[in-house]
Amino acid sequence: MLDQLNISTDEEGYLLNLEDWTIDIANAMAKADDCELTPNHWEVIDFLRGYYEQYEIAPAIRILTKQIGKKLGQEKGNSKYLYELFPHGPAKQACKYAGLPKPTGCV
Amino acid sequence: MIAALVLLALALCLAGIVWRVIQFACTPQLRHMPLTPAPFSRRGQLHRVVSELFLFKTLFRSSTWTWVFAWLFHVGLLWLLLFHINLFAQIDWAWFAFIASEAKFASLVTMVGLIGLLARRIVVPRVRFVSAPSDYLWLVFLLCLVSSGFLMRWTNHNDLESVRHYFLSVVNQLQSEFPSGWLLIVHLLLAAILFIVFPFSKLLHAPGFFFSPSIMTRDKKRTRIKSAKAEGRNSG
Amino acid sequence: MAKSDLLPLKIKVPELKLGSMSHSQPYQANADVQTALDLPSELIDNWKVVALETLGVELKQSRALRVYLDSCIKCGACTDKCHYFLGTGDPNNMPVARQDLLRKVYRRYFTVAGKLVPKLVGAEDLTEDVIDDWYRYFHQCSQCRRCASSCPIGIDTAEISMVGRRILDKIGLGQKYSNQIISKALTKGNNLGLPGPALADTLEGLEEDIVEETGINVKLPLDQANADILLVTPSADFFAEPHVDGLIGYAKVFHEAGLSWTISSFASEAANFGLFTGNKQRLEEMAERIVQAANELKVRRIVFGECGHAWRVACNYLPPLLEKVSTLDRRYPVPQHIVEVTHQLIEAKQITLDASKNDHRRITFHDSCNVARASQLGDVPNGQLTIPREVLQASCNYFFDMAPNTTGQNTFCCGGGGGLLTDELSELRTAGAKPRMSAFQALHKKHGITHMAAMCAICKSQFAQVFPHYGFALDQVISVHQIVGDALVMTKS
Repeated sequence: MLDQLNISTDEEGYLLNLEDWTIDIANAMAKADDCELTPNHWEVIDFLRGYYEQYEIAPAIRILTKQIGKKLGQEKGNSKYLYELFPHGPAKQACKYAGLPKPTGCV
Repeated sequence: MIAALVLLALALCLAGIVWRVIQFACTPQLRHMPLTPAPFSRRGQLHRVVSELFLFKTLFRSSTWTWVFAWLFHVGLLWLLLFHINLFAQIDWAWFAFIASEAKFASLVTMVGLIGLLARRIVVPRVRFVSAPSDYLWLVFLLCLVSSGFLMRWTNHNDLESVRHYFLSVVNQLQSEFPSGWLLIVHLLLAAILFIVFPFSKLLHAPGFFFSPSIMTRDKKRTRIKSAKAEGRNSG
Repeated sequence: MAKSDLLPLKIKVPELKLGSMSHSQPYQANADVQTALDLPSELIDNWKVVALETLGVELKQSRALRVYLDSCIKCGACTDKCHYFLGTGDPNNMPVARQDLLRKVYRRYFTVAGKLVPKLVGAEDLTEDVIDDWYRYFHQCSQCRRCASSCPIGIDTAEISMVGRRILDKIGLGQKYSNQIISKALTKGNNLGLPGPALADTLEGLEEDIVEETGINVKLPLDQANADILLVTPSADFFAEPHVDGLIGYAKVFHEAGLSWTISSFASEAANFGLFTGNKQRLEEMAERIVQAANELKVRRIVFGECGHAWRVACNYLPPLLEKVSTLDRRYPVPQHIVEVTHQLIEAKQITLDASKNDHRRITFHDSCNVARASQLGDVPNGQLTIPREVLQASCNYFFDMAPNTTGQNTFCCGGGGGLLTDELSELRTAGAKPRMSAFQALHKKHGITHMAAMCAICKSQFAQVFPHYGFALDQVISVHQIVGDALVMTKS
């Protein structure tokens, strides 16, 4: 399905052009990873995209967990919960589905 | 003839060593890059260099069996060097003569070291993997050289006096007869080969030791103005 | 059986498995990244000429390189020292074999013996196969110097892999991860590419968190001119976990000690990946940013956060560059490390620690390779080994050390250093962490260790990723300054 969408990505499957992103692409990417996007996943993805629009960078994990805590309840405002949602690491996997570039550096 | 060859080879060898030292010395080391923990003080650095040079401290720590054989080999080598110096220079000090006289024992120590190193190179797959043909060849070559010398002393193949006499005559450009003996010929030819190839081979690793930034660089402090307290703690 | 039970408690030297890691290589940098650094973006036509020229130039400029290439006697003492060899068994990961990848070419083209009798002395022509091996195996070296400290001549594979990567860069085979980071650091000021406003927002968020947790207004100032201290810390400290709790720890210490400090948005990165790729020009450009920030903010001290190789660069490259900063107070070491600062404050009793606050933790310390073997702390020999331990022991009651052949000068790299902390090298990283994990597991069995403290952003990220592979939790790795911060008695409002 991902192939049929005809999008350009880098070696690791991150979108090369942020503007190419659609909901279908996110769903297809998740499916390729054997992951079903639930409303809780979308809470994260939407926040990432909004933050990126404002700051041109994905938010720090701490900012993300705080936001998720506010939206989904305190018990979910921690990185453990985020790892449950995105087992390959919230920063990397969620950024990928959100169409953002992969975070670089010692992270 | 043979003596001239050996002496010429020796001269080449010394020139090669000097050339290599100059090459190392003339290559700049732009960056201060001590391998730490490194001593801060001159005394500490001296201690480090001496214990590496004479005791192979790092090798002892990292590979004790290699250390046993490498150390025996080098001690034997030093001993043989003293023996050969004494053979021609005839130094009068009693202790020196004593050390230099036991060539048989020195050869044995060297050979034990060499055999151990060769065995390790063959037996340990990791070391075998990183060995080039020359790595084995050198060990075998040195074994031949040392054992030819050992056999000469063991069988009293020829007396040292005649060898000394022969060499001194050649140096002084006097007529002299070559002391007979095939072992001596083998020994001298091997020595000549060693001298010629030595500067171009890995055997010349001693200058590398003295120019190795990770061993020869001591650590330096970042503090400019030292507090009395820091001074007191710096005597390491 | 738990995953961690699979780990041997003693580190075993593996059988040789030739080629077992020959499939492991990082992504190549694309044209955008390479062009930004003035490097060719694919293998150039005259690669062989350029490769040999570059090697020739490096040989003339670096005594270390010449000595290291010339002086190896193949004694084999280093062969069982590399964590990547111990983890993978690939013989090309033995330090001497890795060096030989370059040495055989050096011998062929630059030495008499290699020109005359190449086969005999193990000299080889430079071919594309050799280049491929360079790209694979120079990117399986974390430049941790464990081999160097086991070598009787001190031959340092790090120097050789740096030159190897430099040559690869020049012929168009750059590594994506490192070069992307270098170009971000040079344009945005940090490896993440975190712009100023985002950094400000992040720091504000952290201030709120600290107030919430402690009720105290601890500030994390940004671009505050005339502050006493410029904190230069790895950008992972702003972004990742457990790093960020370390940053909060530094802030608490500064606050409690009454020190004025600031972060610079222009030089918001301590890490310097120019070191890893042997790119001296870029390394110095990044270091110059710190100099410029210090000048503009007129700070009196420069303090580095918890980052291993940044501290190596700070000790080996930065001091001459910092001559240009006139405002620096020379009574303090230039530059300084946060662990040194905290250590001095503890000794001078300017901060108080309540170690019992960490009684729920049983802690060990992972010596970061670049701190242990390539830098210094304090003004005493071995300070880089003793000072972090003294700080930890002042901050917690249950501190235990791992086996001596895995700590201090003999420490194992975390497995992610030297520009290898990238996902496509996960297999290598997991295998390379094995020796450290064995030692951790052994101590865990003996003393019920709960946490491994580290003072390097790479170590922390790497362990957070590999701990779960070995049956531990990712939050069992912790910043030294998180432990300090948790124990710190906060008296100032």
